[in-house]
Amino acid sequence: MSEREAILARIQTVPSLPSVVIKLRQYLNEPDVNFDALARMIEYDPGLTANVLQLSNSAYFGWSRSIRTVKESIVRLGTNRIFQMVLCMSVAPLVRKPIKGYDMDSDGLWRHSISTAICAELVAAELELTCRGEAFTAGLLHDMGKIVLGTFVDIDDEPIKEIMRADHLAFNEAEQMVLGIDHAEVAAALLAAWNLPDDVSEAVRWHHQPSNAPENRRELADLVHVADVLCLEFGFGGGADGLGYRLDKGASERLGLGIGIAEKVGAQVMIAVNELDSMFQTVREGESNGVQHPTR
Amino acid sequence: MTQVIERPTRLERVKRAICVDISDMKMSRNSEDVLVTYSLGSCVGLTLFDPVAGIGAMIHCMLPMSKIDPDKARLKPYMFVDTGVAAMLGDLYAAGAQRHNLIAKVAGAGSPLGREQTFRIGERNYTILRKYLWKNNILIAKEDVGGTKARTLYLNMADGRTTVKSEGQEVEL
Repeated sequence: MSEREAILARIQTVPSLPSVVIKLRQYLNEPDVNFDALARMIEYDPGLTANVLQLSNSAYFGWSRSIRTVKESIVRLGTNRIFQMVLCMSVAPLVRKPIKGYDMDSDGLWRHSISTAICAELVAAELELTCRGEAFTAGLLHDMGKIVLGTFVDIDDEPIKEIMRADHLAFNEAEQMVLGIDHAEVAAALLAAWNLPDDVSEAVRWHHQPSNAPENRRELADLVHVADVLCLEFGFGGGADGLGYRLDKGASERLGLGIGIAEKVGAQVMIAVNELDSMFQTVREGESNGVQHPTR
Repeated sequence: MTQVIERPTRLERVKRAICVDISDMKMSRNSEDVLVTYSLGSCVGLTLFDPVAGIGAMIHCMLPMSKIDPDKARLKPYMFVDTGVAAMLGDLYAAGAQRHNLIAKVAGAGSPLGREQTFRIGERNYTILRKYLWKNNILIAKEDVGGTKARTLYLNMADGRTTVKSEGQEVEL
């Protein structure tokens, strides 16, 4: 078995997404959503209910008035927002731990994931992009490949760094050379295994080289690329890979993103990340995040 | 004869570390303190130390100019180089530091591979910082800026020693 095959096989050991996430995702595509049925699905789990209500009253996700029931939360914030909250809770236990290879502490990947999600959403809103609805999800999940690839990067740490120095390669290019696969491709394979839609997994797959993405997926790939780079620049949860990634020159041009909007969004992301992070600290203190992960 | 340099061990450093978050500034006059800031990417970290008064400060700025969001600048003045360094100098002078004694050291201002105007935030941070210090007659004594490294910056209040850690290596500035 090649190293690439071993890495792809390792994806199967990552827990599946909780069934409530998949069901919520299906509801998003239905034109006539039954809010009562959706609310019942969440209320079935008291931990999840408490966390959804708490997040519904946060400044970032929330509404200016206080929200008291799950149904009110769905009506006010929309099903997509509820899906994003539950997705955050579901991936939190997977990313809130030290990530080997990338030398990230227990908050590094978590902070980078939520900040990229927030940044992608804010950039999409500023530029009125059509892929706006998937911005948060794709941003949140773009580096999930690191939870699988980390142990392999850790073993081959020296060759990866050596090849970066000698050949002036980006970190993901060195991963590809040494391991036969990079963290973006691993993330895309994981999202496919999680039955998430192709537009999200394709954007994640090409987040370091969005010019290579299929044309109909390119806007979301461009968006995740710029959001990822900005969050690395601002130091939101980076690791040993630092800023060692290559800019895809076409991305900001295609999106119409200039330095003014980039800096303005950066200031907003900083405030929102701290708010969401402290909100999730409380969620974590409650021991259970209210989402049960089935094992494969 | 080998000269023994007394420096805090990792454990001591953790015990006394005062963390400067992104868009934050901390000042100290306690020789037991070590000011530290993590995750300097394109952000700039500046340390100012007055060895005579025994006062030092560290700032971690994300963005060059406050004019892009004056409301955020009021809420978080240390987010921006212009408002942040002005406030930092004000605090240092109020605490008794003297401009002509201040030793300035800078780290950060990194950038990804490839050049593109939209992402030249590190370069802009550094340019504005240098200009602002120059206008205030403060020269940068040492710096470790640019490149793709993420950096951690330390200021040891016992003697003003400033170190930068990146990719597992710690070097004195």
